[in-house]
Amino acid sequence: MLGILKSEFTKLFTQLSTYIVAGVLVLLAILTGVLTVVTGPLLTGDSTAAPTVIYGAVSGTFNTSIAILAIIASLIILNEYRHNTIAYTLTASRNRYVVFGAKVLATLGYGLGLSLVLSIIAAITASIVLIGTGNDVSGQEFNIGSALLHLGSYVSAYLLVGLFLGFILRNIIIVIVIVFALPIIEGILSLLLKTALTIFLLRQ
Amino acid sequence: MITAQNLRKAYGDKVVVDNISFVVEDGKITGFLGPNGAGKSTTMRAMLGLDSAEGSTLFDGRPLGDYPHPSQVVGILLDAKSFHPKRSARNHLKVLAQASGIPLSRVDEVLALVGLQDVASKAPGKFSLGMAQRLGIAAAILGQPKHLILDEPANGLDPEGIHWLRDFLHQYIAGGNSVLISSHLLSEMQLMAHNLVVIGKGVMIANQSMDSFIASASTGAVFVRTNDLNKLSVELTQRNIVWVAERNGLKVSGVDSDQLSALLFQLGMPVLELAAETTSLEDAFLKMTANAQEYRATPGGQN
Repeated sequence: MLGILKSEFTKLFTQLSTYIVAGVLVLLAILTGVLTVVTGPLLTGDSTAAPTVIYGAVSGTFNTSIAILAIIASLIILNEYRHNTIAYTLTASRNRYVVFGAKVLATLGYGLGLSLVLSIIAAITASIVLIGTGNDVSGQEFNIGSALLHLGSYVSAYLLVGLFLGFILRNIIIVIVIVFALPIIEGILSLLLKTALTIFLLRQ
Repeated sequence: MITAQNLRKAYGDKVVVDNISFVVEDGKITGFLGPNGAGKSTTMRAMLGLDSAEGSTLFDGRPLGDYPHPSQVVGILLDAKSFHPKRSARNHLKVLAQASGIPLSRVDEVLALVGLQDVASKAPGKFSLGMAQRLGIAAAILGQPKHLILDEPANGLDPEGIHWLRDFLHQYIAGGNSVLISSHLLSEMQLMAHNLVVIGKGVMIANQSMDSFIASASTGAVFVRTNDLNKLSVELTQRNIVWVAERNGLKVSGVDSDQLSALLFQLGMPVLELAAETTSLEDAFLKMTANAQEYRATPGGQN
């Protein structure tokens, strides 16, 4: 299992696209960190920044990067079929669940690790901009445990959905369409659930 | 020894591999032949468990799934371009070695063995087909497996590459290993393989040694040329020996060259040319698979 896991990480870190995507997401994190402050407390003329600005920068980074991470996850599977390396991958171990398990772990490791780095970058960027514009950051509310749990589970879910879509659809265009439609689907489902819950509570 | 038993694969109503059984013997190269669309690649994939199919394949008496690292039991080359085009040749092999528990030192060994050490750090996306084949062979032998299953490994190789492949495979089996190889280069296959498995439209056509396969398609005729063909033809007819005129001589059936030369000596006729008709693997293959061609071109390019 360890060898297959190593092999999956080697695959990730020996292809240029891994670094290009990471670079683009880092730029996005910096941009989100800056824009969250600039378009928030500064434009509204507040002398004291809202206490959730840094948390907002981090969650904003997640919102902008999550779809890209899901697509990367799907590409991890899709590339195997596209480049016909799946035969090698499947004959590496007698247990195919181990092979797919290693792929899931590597994807989660890369995705969550990158998300953590992006969060730190977004938080640092927002802090720097806040301090640079004369704001006090000591009043910022940021529950690290809650953020890790909430955003980590959200990223994990998207990564797993990306892997699953890549595996069953094997077509990157369809995967991209579905991944970008996910927030809409999520919104509709949330609305339906809220409506159903309201109706249920009213009937009680 | 690889033993394929009753392999059967169907897509809906269409049966593409129908009850194929054969053995790939140790210490021998077994050629796997068939026209395009005969089901060779599907059979190979089914043997490796890459496609779901009925039947079973045993590697030294055990299913591939019984071995902790199947790639150390059987090396495969199913498609020459099975690699990420931007990942270097060395990293491609490194990935495979890590996944199969093979020491990384083996990577440079196999790269040197296939002659790719100078381009090891280059991305294989721009490799020629011949170089890609060499990388595929390197991947197949990485785990020093006892068995090799190679689908068209000679495609795209230059004459030197084909010569290298032939020598390499002969050395490989000398250690008691087995090789199953498919190829459309029949002249090359004739030099390379000891046994043949021939399929057509998913059905077994032949499963025998190379020599017996060629012999079974041979007419056994002898071509003879002498100074008086009319006299010879009369003599042959009187002896109930079948002959046909061909070029500037006679093609004689039912006697061998020894008997025919003795007859000419007895008749006092000079032998200007005497040759037993040889059948090539290509002739034998075309004859055997005449009714098993899935795709056939219009003769003479007519519409």
